[in-house]
Amino acid sequence: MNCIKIDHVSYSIEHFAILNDIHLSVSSGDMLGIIGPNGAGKTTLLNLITGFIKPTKGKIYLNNKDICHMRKDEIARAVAVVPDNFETEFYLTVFDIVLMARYPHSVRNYITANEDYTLAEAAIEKVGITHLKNQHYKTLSSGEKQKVLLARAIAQDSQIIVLDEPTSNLDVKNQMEIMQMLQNMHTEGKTILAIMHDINLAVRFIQNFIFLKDGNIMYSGNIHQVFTKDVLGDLYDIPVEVFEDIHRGFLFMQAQKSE
Amino acid sequence: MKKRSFILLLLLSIVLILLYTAAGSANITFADTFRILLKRITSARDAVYDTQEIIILNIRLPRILLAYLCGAALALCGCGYQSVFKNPMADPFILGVSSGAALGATLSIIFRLSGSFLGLNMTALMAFAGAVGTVFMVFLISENARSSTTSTLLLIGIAIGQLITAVIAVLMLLFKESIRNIYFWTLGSFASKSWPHLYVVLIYFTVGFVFMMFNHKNLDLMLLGKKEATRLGQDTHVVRRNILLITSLLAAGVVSITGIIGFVGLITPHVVRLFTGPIHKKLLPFSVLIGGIFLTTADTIARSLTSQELPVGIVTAIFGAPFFIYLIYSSKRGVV
Repeated sequence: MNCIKIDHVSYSIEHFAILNDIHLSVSSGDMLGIIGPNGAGKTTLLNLITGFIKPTKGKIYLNNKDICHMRKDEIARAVAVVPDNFETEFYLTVFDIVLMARYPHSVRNYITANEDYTLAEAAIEKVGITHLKNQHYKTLSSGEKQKVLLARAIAQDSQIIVLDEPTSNLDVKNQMEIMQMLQNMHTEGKTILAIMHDINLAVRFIQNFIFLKDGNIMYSGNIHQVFTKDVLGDLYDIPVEVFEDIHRGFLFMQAQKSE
Repeated sequence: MKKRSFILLLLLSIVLILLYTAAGSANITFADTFRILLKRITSARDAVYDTQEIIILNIRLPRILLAYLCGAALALCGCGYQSVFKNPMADPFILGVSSGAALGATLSIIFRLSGSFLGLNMTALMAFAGAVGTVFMVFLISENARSSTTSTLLLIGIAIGQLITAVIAVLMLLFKESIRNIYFWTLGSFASKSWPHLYVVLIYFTVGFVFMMFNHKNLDLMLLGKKEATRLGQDTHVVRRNILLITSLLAAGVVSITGIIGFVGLITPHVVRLFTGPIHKKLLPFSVLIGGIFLTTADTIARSLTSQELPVGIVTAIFGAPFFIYLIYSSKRGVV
């Protein structure tokens, strides 16, 4: 069953095309990496899927419903977002932020249900940050903040989780932990769309990719179809080499200096 | 713990209201004040009252309760504005409510307009019309701007506010005989306010408080900014507009009756947030109590400190400004 269907969608700002005729179907339970150079339109695609902006042309369907006819809370119950970073002036605790993920389920209810508190607690425990529960979010490190945002997405309890460069500001240990948690969520049946900058990290955890460039889907397919010297060279406009770790079977890319 | 603190603050509010009712130029003891209030509660409506009783029941009590309610209402507005603008320094007068009200009051004072409605005189009615008119103008211009963001709204509010302030200055120069009255109106006062004023503000406050409490989750989401609030299911445009309209109307209602009273709406939520955190289910009720206590205390100081009554706006600024500066210094150390 199609969980997300992007039907010939274009998006432009004042005649400047950001995305051109994007056509994509994501089935329930898929895990898809979205890769591309800066300015390719990756975050715009994310903003379209979450209903933050509307397509200039085409339609987006979530669970076969046109997103333009869905209420914002209905969209939030279907899609959770993990942004690359999020800062706030206010002294919100980790628990405050994770509990807000339950608001799409009950924003019109004056009372917050016991179930919401339980789910928020469980999400915090799941990402291993129970010790940070009552700490102020703004005082945490980048890695801890990213885990809070992941806990928030878990508490939101939506079928689709979209991540915008979830490991961009993290050290190697935190990168591996976050990606492992993503893989676990995928194993549990969630549909995952992850915008990734670190392609070498992405290929260790994700099997299927779309490559965006200049607002177009340039290539799509599984790791063996798209992770090639020619495709990656074309994507980034630089010469690259692709290597394989023969002991563990990992592919990795190395950019070459231009001659 | 929070429930107990709330009950304690509520009891403190009642005690302070009783104490402040006993304070004033007419020498009435606390025991007499309490006896008079008890008589009012227990006796028939047509009971006969003496001078002391009239001072307590018809002058001091409505004034003190009005000050409490206005403080509570302004604090509520401050919470709303600071959430919508995602800025703990936003103020209920930021969208031109105060300058609009001042223009209405200025016109009424200059042209000596007479008449009344629901116990409110023409100056209060004109001030309300001026404040509401200004807020709607700011919204209308902002909504039709090419990019309607919170910053657009804020900038248009500031621009319109400045424009109106300039118009008031011109009017004051043209009608010099009214300068004193206009100036004193802008400083705010609870002098000669009575029960009808209290009833009107009570209606504004009740509507505002119920609306805000039922939107406590929306107010929380707005602290995260437009993008994150949308991602958590909020129709940010509609929610932002509704909250700003309701809080602006509430601020307009208060200002039209009392004149411009600064700092209460700005500081109260800020102080309360230090103890409750920014989650609105706790922040709103505590802000209401602290705002009420702050303004009744300021008003009591205003009418007792010197032989001539001070405008309450001066007292809130004299106490509020140093405290505000202290908070700004504290925030550098990460306290706020």
